[in-house]
Amino acid sequence: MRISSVQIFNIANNSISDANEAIAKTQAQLSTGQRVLKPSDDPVASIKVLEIEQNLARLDQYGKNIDIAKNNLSLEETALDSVSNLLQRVREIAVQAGNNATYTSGDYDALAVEVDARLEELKNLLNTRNAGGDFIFAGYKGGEQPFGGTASSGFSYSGTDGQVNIKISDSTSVATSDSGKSIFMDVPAAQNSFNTSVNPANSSDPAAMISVGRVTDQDAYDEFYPEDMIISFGHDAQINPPGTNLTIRERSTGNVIQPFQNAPYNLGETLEVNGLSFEIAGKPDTGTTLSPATINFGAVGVVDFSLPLNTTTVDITVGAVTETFVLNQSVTNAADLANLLNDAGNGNAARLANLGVSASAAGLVMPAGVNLSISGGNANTDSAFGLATSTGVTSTDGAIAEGDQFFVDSSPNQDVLTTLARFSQAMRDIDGSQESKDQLSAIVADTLDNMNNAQTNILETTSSLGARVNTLESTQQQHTDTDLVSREVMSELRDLDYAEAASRLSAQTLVLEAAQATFVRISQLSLFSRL
Amino acid sequence: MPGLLDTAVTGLRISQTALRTTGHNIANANTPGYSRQQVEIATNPAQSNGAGFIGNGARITAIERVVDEFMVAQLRTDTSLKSELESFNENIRQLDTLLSDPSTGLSQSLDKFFATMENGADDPTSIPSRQLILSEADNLAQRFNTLYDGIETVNSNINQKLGVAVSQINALATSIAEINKNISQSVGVSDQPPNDLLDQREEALRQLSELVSIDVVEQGDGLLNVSIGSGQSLVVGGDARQLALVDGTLDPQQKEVAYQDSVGSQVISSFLSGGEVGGLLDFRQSTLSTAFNELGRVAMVMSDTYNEAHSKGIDLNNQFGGLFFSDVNDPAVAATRVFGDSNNAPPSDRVMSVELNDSSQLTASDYVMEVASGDTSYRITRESDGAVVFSGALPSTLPASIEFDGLELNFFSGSFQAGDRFLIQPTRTAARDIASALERPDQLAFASPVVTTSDSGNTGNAKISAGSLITLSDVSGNALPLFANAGAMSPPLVVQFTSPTTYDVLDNSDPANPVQLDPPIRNRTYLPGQVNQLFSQDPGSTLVAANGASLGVGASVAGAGPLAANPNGYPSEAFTITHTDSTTGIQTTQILSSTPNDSAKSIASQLSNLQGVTAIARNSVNLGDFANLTNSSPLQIELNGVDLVEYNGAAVDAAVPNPNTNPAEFNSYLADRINADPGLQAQGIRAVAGTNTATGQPELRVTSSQGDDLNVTLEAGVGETLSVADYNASVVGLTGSGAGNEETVTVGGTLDIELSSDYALTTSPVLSALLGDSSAPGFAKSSYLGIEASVNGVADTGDRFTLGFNTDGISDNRNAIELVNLSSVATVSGGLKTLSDSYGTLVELVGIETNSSSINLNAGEQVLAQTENLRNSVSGVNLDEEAANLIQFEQIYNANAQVISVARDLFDRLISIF
Repeated sequence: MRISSVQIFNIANNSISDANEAIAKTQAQLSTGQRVLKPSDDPVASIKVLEIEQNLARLDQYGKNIDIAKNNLSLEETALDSVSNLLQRVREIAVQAGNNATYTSGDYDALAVEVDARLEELKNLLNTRNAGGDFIFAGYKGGEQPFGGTASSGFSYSGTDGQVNIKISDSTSVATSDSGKSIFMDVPAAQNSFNTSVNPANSSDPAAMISVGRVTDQDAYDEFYPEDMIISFGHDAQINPPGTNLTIRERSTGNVIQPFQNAPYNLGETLEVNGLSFEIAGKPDTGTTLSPATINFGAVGVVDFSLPLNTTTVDITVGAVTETFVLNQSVTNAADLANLLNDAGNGNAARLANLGVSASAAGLVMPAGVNLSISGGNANTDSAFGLATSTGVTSTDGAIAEGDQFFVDSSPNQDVLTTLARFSQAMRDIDGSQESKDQLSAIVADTLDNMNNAQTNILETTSSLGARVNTLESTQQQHTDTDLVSREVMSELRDLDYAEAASRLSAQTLVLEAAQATFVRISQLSLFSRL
Repeated sequence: MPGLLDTAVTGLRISQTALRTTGHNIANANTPGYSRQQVEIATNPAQSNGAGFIGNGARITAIERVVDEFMVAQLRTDTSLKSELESFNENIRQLDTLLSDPSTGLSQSLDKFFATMENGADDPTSIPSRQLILSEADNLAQRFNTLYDGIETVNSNINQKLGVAVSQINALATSIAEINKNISQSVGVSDQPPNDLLDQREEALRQLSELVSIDVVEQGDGLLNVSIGSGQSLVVGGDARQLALVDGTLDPQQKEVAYQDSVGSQVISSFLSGGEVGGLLDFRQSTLSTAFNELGRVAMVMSDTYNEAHSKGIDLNNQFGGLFFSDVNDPAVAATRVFGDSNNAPPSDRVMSVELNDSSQLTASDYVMEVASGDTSYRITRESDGAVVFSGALPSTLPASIEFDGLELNFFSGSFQAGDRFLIQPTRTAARDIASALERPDQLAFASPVVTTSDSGNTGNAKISAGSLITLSDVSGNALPLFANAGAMSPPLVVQFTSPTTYDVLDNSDPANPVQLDPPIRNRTYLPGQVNQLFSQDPGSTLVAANGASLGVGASVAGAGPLAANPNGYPSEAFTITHTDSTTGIQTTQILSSTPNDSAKSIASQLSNLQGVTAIARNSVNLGDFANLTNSSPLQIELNGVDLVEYNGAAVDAAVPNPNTNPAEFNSYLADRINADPGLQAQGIRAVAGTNTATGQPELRVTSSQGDDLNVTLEAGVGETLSVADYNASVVGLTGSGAGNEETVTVGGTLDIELSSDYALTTSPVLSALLGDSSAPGFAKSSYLGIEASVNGVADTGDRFTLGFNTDGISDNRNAIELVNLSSVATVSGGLKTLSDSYGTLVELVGIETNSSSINLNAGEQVLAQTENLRNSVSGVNLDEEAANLIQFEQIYNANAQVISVARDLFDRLISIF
C-alpha cells in the first residue's frame, strides 16, 4: 500500500497518544488505589459499590444507635438496681416491725422516720434523669417529673404509657425505656386497692384535689370492689341551709351511694365510704343553682279548646329521651289537659315518670333542671296548649347543678410509693393499743406482699432489659460480620490489584518507549537528506 | 534542426511543469484537504514523411488531483459520526463526573441526612441533634440545587454550542456556495479541473460534516448541492441558505435549530443527526432530560414523603408538624410545570397547573397534551414510552381537574382551543425548587399525636398497643375531625369492655360520663388471644347506626295468661347493598329480604354473610316505674319466659324487696335474678340495676349483646304499671289486670351496619322500621377515624383503655422512626426503589451511557482514522516519492537540455562548415 508522509506522522502521533492515555489511567488508578474511578469505568461495579457504601453508612449508624440503646438500658438497669436495694432495706424494716413485740411507739416512730427517708430517696430514684435531662421512667413525657405528690396528698404518675424504641437494624427496633407506670404503679396489691383522680374536665382554678386515701375497712371495700365511685359537688343551694354538698354515685350504674345524696361536706374533712377514706381539699367548683325547667300552657298563644284534641299526639323530649303522649279525650280546660297528660290508663303517666316531668294546669315542669321541649303536634294541639307544638317549643329556664367531679377507681394494683407511705403511716399510728398493733401487723403483711410484687415487677423488667441487651449485642455482632463481608466485596469490586497494575504500567511504558523510538528512527528516514 | 529543438523544448516544458507540480505537492504536503497532483503527459502527434512518422515530442494534457471520490464521501460520513460521538461523549462525561463525584453528587448528602435523622430519633429531646437535622436537611436541599445548577449549566452550554455550530454551518455554506461559483467559472474558462478549488470545497464539506451530517449531490458544471436533515437544501449551486437558533415553541429553555428560506422559518432539530449538532441534540434529548427528570423525581418524592410523614407527628410545642421541605404543590411552583406552545392560538390566556397527588406513582417523564385540531377532544401522551395516559374532552366549566400517573392537572381559566399543545414537565425543576422549610429545631415533629393508656384499675391482662395516626384527612382530602382542634384529640376516646368478649369505644370528653360516638363503635366483638384492631382501617368505610324505634313497632298484648310471647312486629324489609367499582363504575347489588318479626340477631347474621357488610346486633330494655307495684301475689315479671319474682308457695318470697317502698333494692333484686339465670346468661343477657340520669329513678338496664328479642311480661294487681323503654327511650307501660291476666311486649333489637369502601345500603321501604330514613343525608356516616390501635390479651368486664392526645410527649420518637424509615422504604416508582436507589439508578444509567459512548467514540475514531488513512494513502503527498520525482524530472530536464545542446552542436557543426 502507498503510504503518504502525513500517515507516517499520524501513525506515530496516534500510537504515542494512545500509549500516553493508557499510562495516565494506570497512573491514576495506582495513585488512588481504586480500579473504578468514575461510574463509567465500570457501571455495574460502581452501582454495586454505591449500594454497599450506603449499606455501610447505615451499619455505621446502627452501630451508634446500638451504643446509645446500651447506654440507656444500662442507666435504667442501674436505677432499677438501686430501687431493688432500697426495697430490700424496707423489707428488712417491715420484718423488724412485724416481729418485735417489745417495740415502743418511739421505736416505731424511729423506723417510720427511716421509711420516710427511704420513700423520699425512692421518689428521687423513680424520677431519675438521663444525661440529656429527660426523666427515664416518664414514658413519652420525658420533660416532666413523672412521680409527684407526697404521702399526705397521695402519689401520682403524670407520665404516659409507652416505650421509646431505637432502630438497630433495617427490621429490628429495641425498646430503650420502660414506662414507670407499668413497673412502679401497676404493682399487684395484696388487697384490693383503689386510685383517686380528678376529672380533667373540672373547672375549678386552682384545681381542687383529692387525697390518695386508704382502705380503712378491707372487708367492706372487698364487698364493694370492683365498682368505681364518682363524687360530684352540687350547688350550695341544693341543701338547706345552703352549703357545700356532694353526691357519690357508682360509676357503672349511676346509683347514689347512700347517704351521700347532696350530703353536706366540709372541705378537707375525711370521707368514709365503703371501707375507703379520703379527703377533698381546695375549692371545688359547685356549678350553678338548680332551676326547674318549665313550659307554661299559653306561653306562645291564647289557649283555645274549641278544636278537637282526641285523636292527636305530642312529643315531649328531655335530654335524649322522647316520649309520644297520646291525647285520646277531648278537654275543655287546662286542668283537664293536665289530667289527660297524667292519665295512667293510656300510658301517659308512665311516660311522664320516665321523663321525670310533671304536668299541672299551669304547664309542664322538669324539676331536675334539664330543659324540655314539646313538639310533633298539629294546629289543634297548638291552640289547646297555647304553644307552637307543631314547630316545637323548648324551655330555657332549666339549669342543672353540675359541679366538679372526682373519681375513686377500684384497682387490683397499688403503687410502690403508696405502699411505703401506708407502712410508715401505720407505724406512726401506733398508740400502744392492741388494735393499732393488729392493724400494723396486717399492714406489715400487706407491705411485704406488695414489696414482693414490686420486686417481681422490677425483676421482670430487669430480665427484659437483659434480653434486650442480648438482642443489641447479637445484632451488633451481625452488623460487624456484614460490615466485614461488605467491605471485602467492595474491595473486590473497586480496589486495584497493585501487582497487575504495576506490570501493566511497565508493559505500557515499554509500548510508549517503543513508539517513541520507532518514530525517531522513521522520521529520520527522508530521501531529501540524501540529496 | 528546428524539429529536434522543438521536440526538446516540449520535453523541457513538461519537466518544468512536472517539477513545479512536484514542488507544489511538497509545499502542500501538510495542507489539510490537499490532494496530491500529477501531470498527465501525452505524445505530440507525429509528423509524417516518406520514411514514416517522426515524433514531435510530448505535451501536457492535464494536471490532475489523485482523488478517490468514494473515499471522500466516506470520509465525510465517518467525520460526522465521529464528531457526533465526540460531542455526546464530551457532554455526558461532565454529567458522569457531576453525579458521581463525592463533592457534587447526592449520595453522600443523602447518607449524612439519613444518619442525622437516626441520631435525632435516638435522642428525640436533644436540641443539638435536632439542629443537626435542620442543617443537614438544608445541606441536602442545597446539594439538590447545586446538582440542578450543574445540569442546567450543561444545558445552557449546549444552547451556546448550538449557536456557535449554527453560525459555523452558515459560514461554511456561504463559502461552499462561493467556491461553487468559482469552480463553475473556471470550468467555463477551460476544460481543465480547478484542482485547488476542488480541494478547498472538499475541505469545506468535510468541516461542515464535522458539524452536521450532510448529503452531497453533484449538479453538473462542477457544482455541488448540499442538503441536511430531511432534505433541506443548504447549498444550491451558488446560493447558500441560512440556519438560525430559535427558542423552542413548547419549551423555551431549549434552543432549537430552525431552517430559514423564502417561506419562513421551520424547526428542523428533530431531523438533524450526525456531527456536533447531532451529538448535542441527541444528548439533550436522551440523557440530559432524563438527568433533570430523574433527579427532580428524587427531590419531589423526598419532599412529598417527608412532608407527609412529618405532618402526622407533633413537635415539642404540641403542634402538628409543618412542612419539612418546601411544598411540592405550592401554587406558584405548580404553575411552572406546564408550558403552552407559543404557536397556540391567541390570546395566550390559559392558566393551568400540575400538582402531585401520589408521589409513588410519579414517573420521570415529560408529557405532552394535544387538543385535536377539529374538536375539543384532547389526549395526554407520556414522552418516555409514547403511551396515551389520558384522553377526554376539554372541560366545559372551569376550574376543572383530571388525574393521571399520580399527578393532578388543573385547568383554571383561559380559552382552550382546538389545536392547542402543552408541555407538562412535572419533575424537571423539582431539584431546583426543593428547599428546607424548617426554621427551628423544636418544630421537628418526632412524636406521634396518639397516646394510649391502660387504666390502672384493669383486672384483665389485656394490653393496648401504642397506637398511631394513619392520616389526618379522609379520602376526599378533608380534615378528619379527630385532630381538627390544635393540641387535643376531639373527642378523646375510651375503650370500655362491657364483657370479656365485647367492648364499646366511647367519647371520653367527660370521663365521668362517656357517651357513644357518632356513628357509634359499640358492642364490638373482642377475641381474647388475638390482636383486635379497634378502629376501621378502611378509609371509605361507613356505618349505618340503628335509628328506628324498636319498641314502637311491637305493640303490647294483654289477656289471660300464660300468654305466648308476642312478635317484635318488625315488618319484612329489603336491604339492598350496592357496590360501585371505583375504577370501572360497574355496580353490583346484593339484596336481603328479612322475614317479618325476625330478631335483630338473625337479620345481622344474614346481613354479615353479604359481601362488604358487617352487621352488629344488640338489644336493650330499661324497666322502670317500680314504685307502682306491690310485692304481693299476683306480682310477677317475666323476662324471655323466666320468672323474676320468687314465690314461696302462693306468697311472694320474703326475700323480695318491696318495690313500692324500696324501688332501688327491688331493682337490684331483679338484676341479680337475671344475672344469676343460666338460661339468660347463655343468651348473653345481662342486667344492671342503675339510676336514670335525668329522673334519678331506679331503672333496670337489660341488654342482650347478641341482639336477641327481649320479651317482658307483667302480671300484677289492677292498675299497677311497669314502664318498658327501648334503647331509644321510647316507652310503653305494661298494666296489671289482676291475677291470671298478663300484658306482654317484645322489644326487638337494633342493628349497626358497617359497610366497606364503595358499598352503600338502601332499604325498601325507604323509611325502615329498623334503621330509619335510608334516603336521609347522613344515613350512613363515615366510621373512619384515621387512627390505629389494637388490644390483645384477656380482658375483663369494666376494663378501660384511653386514647388521647400525646401532650408534652417529648421523649416519644415514634414519628421520628417513621421519618427514619423513609430512607429504607421503597417510595419511588410505584414502590420499587428507595430514594437512594432511585438516585443510584440515575448514576448507573449515566455511567453506562458514558461507558458505551466512550466505546462508540473509540470505534468512531478508529473508523475515521482508517478512512483518513485510506484517503491519505491515495491522495496524500509522500515526500520520498516527491524527492524521487524531483530527481526524475530533473534528469528528464537535463536530458532534454542535452538534446538542445546536441541540436546546437549540430547547428554549430553545420555553421562551422561554412
